[in-house]
Amino acid sequence: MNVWNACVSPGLPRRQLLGGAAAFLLPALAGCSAPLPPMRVGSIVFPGYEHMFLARALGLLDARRVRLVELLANTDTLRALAVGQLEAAALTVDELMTARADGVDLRAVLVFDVSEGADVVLARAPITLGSLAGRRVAVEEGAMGAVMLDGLLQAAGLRPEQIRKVPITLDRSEVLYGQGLVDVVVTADPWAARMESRGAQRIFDSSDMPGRIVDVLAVRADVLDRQAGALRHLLQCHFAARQQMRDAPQRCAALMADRLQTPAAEVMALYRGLRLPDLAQNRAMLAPGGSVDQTAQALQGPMVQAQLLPRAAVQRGLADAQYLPL
Amino acid sequence: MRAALKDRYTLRTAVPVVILLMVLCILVFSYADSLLSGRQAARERARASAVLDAERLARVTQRELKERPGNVASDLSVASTEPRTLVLALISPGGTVDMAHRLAWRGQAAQQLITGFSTERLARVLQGRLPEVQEFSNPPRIAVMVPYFTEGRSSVAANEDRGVVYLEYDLDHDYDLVQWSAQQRMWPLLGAALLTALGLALLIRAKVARPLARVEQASQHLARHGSFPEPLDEGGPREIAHLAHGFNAMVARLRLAQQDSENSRARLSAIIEAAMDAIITVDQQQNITVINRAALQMFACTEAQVLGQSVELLIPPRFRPAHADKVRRYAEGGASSRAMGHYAVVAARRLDGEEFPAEASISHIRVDGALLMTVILRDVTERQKAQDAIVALNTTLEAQVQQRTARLVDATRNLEQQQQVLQQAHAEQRTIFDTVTVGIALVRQHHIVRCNRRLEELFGYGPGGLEGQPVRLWYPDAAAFQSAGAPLFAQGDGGQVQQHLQQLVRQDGSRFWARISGSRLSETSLAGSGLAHAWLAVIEDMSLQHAAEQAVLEAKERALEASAAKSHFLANMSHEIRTPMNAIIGLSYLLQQGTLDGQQSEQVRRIRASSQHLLAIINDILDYSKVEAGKLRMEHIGFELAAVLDNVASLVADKAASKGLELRFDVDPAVPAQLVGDPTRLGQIIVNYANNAIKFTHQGQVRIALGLREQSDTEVLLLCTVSDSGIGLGAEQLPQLFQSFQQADSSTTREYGGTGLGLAICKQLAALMQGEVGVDSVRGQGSSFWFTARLGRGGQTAAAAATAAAPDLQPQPAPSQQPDPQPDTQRQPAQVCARLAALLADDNLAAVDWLAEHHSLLALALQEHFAAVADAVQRFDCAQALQRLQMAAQSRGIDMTHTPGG
Repeated sequence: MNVWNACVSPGLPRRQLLGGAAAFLLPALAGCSAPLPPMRVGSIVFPGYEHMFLARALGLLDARRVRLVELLANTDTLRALAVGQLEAAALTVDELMTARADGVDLRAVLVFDVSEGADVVLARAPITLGSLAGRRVAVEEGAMGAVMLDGLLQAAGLRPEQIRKVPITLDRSEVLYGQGLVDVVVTADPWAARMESRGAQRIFDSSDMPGRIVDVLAVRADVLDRQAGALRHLLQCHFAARQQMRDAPQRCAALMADRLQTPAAEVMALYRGLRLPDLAQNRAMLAPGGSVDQTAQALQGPMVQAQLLPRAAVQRGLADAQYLPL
Repeated sequence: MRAALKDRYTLRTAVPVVILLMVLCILVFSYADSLLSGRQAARERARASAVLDAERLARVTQRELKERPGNVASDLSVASTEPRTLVLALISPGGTVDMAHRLAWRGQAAQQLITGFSTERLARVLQGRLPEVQEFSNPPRIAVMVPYFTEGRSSVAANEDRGVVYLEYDLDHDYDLVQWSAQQRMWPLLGAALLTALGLALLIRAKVARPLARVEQASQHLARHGSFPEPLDEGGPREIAHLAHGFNAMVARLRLAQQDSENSRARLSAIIEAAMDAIITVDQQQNITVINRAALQMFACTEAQVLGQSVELLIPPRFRPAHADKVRRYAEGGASSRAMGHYAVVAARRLDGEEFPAEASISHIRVDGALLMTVILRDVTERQKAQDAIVALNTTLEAQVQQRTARLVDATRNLEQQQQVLQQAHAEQRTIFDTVTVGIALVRQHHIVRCNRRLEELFGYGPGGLEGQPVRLWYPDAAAFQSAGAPLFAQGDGGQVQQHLQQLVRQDGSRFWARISGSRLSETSLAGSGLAHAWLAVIEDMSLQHAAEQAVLEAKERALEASAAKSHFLANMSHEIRTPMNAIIGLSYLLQQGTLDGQQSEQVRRIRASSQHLLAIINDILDYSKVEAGKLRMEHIGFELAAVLDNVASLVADKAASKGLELRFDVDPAVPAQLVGDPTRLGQIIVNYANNAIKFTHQGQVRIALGLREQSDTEVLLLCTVSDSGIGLGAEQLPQLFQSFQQADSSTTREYGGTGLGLAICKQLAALMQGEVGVDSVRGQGSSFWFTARLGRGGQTAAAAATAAAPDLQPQPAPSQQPDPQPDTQRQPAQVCARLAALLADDNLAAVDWLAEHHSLLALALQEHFAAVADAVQRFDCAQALQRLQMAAQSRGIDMTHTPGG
């Protein structure tokens, strides 16, 4: 009898066990990374952005992966992005450029909408483009305001100093107009809709300068890799919510009404003046040299003029299409 | 049993598994501990942060809600960016949400929106100012309510002027982080634990389990097969080593015990097999179990026939019943067993039926309760026959005694006759012993044991006067005895006879010469005669012989004296004769110079020639006589060897030339040029040899070679050899050559003349110079005469001396052929060419050096022919070089023959 064999054979299962344990443990040791906190996405109330909130209301959004933070003004949003309180936010391209110029490296990963009438200049009757000179014009101190104002002045044939500019924030535009403190307001929905319903006249809107005002989801470049999963999830939810909205507009409108502070029946009307690019269009717009890059290039002039950008530069690499759902 | 053992745990598995389990337990506890404490810490941090955030918001609300509610809303929305925030709301005392992190919540009832919100708590918080913290464990949440009061109003606040800030944190992510970091800490520990357990398992297997298995295997092997395993390795831990050592010791003990038992069994069976007596062992049933070879032979059967059969087979049938009865009683013990145990003659039966008497003894032994009986049987048939024979023999004994007595008487008579013969022989010997003319003595330990009458007469003693006396008495003194006597009687074994001529002394003191022969008697022949270590001494009176010898010696001395006187006379006489001979030669020379007619002139020439011949003979005799008379004295002065050789050349060159012989001198460069000795006598020997050589050579050459046979700092042994190509000598002539008045052959005297004294003189002269002479020769092939002479060293070598003496030698051709370093300017081209030719003729490699040394001179002398000569010389093609040199010399008109030896 061979003692060695006798000793070894009962040992084999144990050896296999150890091997199995090692095979199990090694990947666990190597691939175990720290759990990620949810990606915080800041957003003001704007119909273009609301599909994200719709997705949340529909229960599509995983709260452990994405948290939507409801902010009141884009200035707050930009600050929060800058100090790291947010990882992503819904912004216009001009805001994105401003932030980049200020050193916050942001990338556009989704185009929510292109304003084709959603951003408007409302005036108290009987003020028209022709009688704009010398009027008090309320405009948000930001790129969008500057771009709209630039478009307005060009259309009216005026120089900036020929009007009286009143800096406001968008959420206060309705109040200031209602109080009669300003004659002309550069604003957007949902405030615009409410003001128009009260008799304000639309003298200029973004459809007069198509492709200038584009809303995108901007993400801090430093979290792109880390939060890629959450980002894809969010984008997927966005498109799913849009699909839901097409499939069940009534139900969706009811869910959206509270946030938009509009009766459910009027929710769909809010999308008038907004072009919502679908997935394929998104891909084309976000491609290098696509319309997002073009928009940025076009915005540079007025922004530099309004001292929102220190200098003009070739705008490239603002967009990244890779997080779009397949 | 084995199945039960298989179910048991093994040490090498159990120990690591137990350790692994323990370590795992510890790890699990540590993991749980870190998880719990981490969660606790996270909770406390969240609690503090939540209270702080809520308080900050409460302050803002308190300050600004009335005037700038937008700012409060903005701050609230920004504050909700805190990652943990689940709910952030301002709740009015009525329980409705005034503001919240969600716009949609405004104006709605908090209880519907917020899980775990209670209006009771809200009321309680509104009562005081302290924050209220509530913790939920599943899911982990922390909810804080902080009250605010709008400033600037009375302390009795209306409901709408106050509210709470409700802040709820979700701790899921914090808990996840805590769990993750706890896991991160645990993995390496778990890995280390596994590795440790694995290492321990391997260590136990290598150091404990395997050695144990080896012990187990070895012991199983021993148990099953009974053969002894190889010794186990006693390495490893102490317990294992002790176990292995103990096992090895046990195996060694077992082996020894088994060997002992096998040895004794082998011994026993060898004894049984080798026993002369038959040995049979039977068991209780009387069946044969052991039977030895002697028994098989005794009963004429084979082992197969009887083994296992009843012993009654070997008992005559008529005794069988009684035998069975006896055996039974013996086995039961008692008196009858005693009787059976004794030797007794019993009747036995061979297998072929023959009965025979046998002496039997029986013994019994109990082995494992069974009774075995062993019977030892001896066939006593022969003994009984012998006893019968003894009885018959006693009757014939008387007659035999008488017969033997008669034979004894005859033998005694024969013995007496032989004794008489011996006595006669002894008497004869005694007579001889007493009548011989020499003295005979038997000596033992230097004392005379017995001697004959003649010995006593020799020493002048009366009869019996010497017996018992020491030998020392014979010798004149103790010294003579010690030097001659003692060695004679102290030699080794017998057989060899030692003889001495010795002067002995008589009793009266007179002395006489005697020859003593001593011989030790052979030990073997004398053994038992009492004469061991004895010598036989025979002493002859030698007085007369001794006197005769003395007379001969005296006569010889007288003859030698006469010879010396004769030589002396001859020497003197020769000198006297030589003086007038010189006068005759001198005057006849003068006569020859005068005016004489042809016949007179011829007569005078003959007179002169004869006189010169006579003078030469006289000179030889004179020299020889001087030597014989011891009158010749060797000089001891410094001289030039070259001068001596010059002189030789001048004396013999003409003779050689006249016979057309080549005369060559070869001097070894090692020979010093300056020597100390007698140059004249040295030259004389060489001239003598050279003259002889020329005389006996008709064609060819005579070569005089000088070399060294020995040398030291102060002196040299010069070897001079004169060789010729003449008639040579026969081997039978060589021994006589150097004796006086001898020539090789009487015929040579007739042909060549001479006194025959020359070589004898040479021998004497060489002897005076502490040298020798000799000759090697073969008839018809020339001779080579040589001599050696011991000379003092003068300091310089021959070459150096030649340089120093160069100016003197210049007019004369150099007698030696050694390289001559004379400068070219002082040299004749002919001389240089001749030297070159000579070297080439000898195939001497020195030719190349010579050419190099005298390059310019030769180039000048040979002009256009030089290149060809030089080329051939450098290739050392001697034949061609010589041919070209001769042609060149001829065309350039150089006479190379103009040098001696050339």
